[in-house]
Amino acid sequence: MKKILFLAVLDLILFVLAASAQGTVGPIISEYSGKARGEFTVQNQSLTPMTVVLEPMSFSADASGNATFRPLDSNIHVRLDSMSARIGVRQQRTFSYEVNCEAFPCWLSIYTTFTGARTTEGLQIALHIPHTIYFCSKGTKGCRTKVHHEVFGMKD
Amino acid sequence: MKKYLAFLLSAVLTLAFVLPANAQATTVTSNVQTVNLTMTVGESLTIGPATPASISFSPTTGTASGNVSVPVTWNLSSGHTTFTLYAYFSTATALTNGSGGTVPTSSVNSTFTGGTTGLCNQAGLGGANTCATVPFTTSSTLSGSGSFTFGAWLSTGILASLPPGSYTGTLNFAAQAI
Repeated sequence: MKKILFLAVLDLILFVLAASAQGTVGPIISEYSGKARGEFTVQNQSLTPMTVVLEPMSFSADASGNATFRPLDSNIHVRLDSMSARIGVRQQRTFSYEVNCEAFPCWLSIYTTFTGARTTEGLQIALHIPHTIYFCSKGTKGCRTKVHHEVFGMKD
Repeated sequence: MKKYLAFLLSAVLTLAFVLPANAQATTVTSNVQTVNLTMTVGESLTIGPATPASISFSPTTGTASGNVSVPVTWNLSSGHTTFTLYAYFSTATALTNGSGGTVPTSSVNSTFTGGTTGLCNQAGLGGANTCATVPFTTSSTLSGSGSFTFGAWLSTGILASLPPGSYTGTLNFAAQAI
């Protein structure tokens, strides 16, 4: 009887974990000057294979660092080697990208969306983690700080 | 003459054994070669698993089946010590039954422990469909983890007007360090 109860509880735990999305993205911030060609890695840390979807987004921030996101600005061009991928249990996938901007500095976030199991009623939970890119003209140092101070008016 | 040769041979043999022993005893130190060691540990941000993986609402009271716990693990560089945890909807429709019945984000109330409370129609990550947020400062702890509790409930005003059906939607959580 105890064995059955134990297996039932274990089954329930595995079901909950399998239905839940969990992911890691790194690095979370990259800075470039002159040429923005890089990559980031996405890890599926859940106990079920997962399809992740990438979405580049533009954002702005106020002086306190509160960001507001919007669809990618038309003067920023992002080329990703893939817009989505199926990642196995405890596996990872590295995405490569190239960014071209018509004006400097430019910045954006590439959001990775992890979605758990579908629900038939109520709200399903999806998780998003960004890889944020700061891109300045050639020779510029501290692109992120420059954008934070000179564009957003932040004092970090 | 034989004696002399025997002595000479003995002396040569003695030297042959002694000299290498002396040579071995001499300390010879080579130049020092160094090998540089490097390792890059990249910054990372982990979110999830959010539990439960879905929540449902009472059609009479609008209360949710429970709060959502959102764990976040971070490993950040100095200078990147803050991030914000957002809850949001991708569109202005929070829930739909697929045949005309909808719950707008303006009818979903939300709260984040340690963060803001408000309707899910604020500016932020989801355009104008952002719910509560938690600004979080890791202070001196550049590597760590925390769990954040999110609660949601529906405004009762919308419930009476909803046509029958199974309502579904997707609630998004995102951790953002800029």
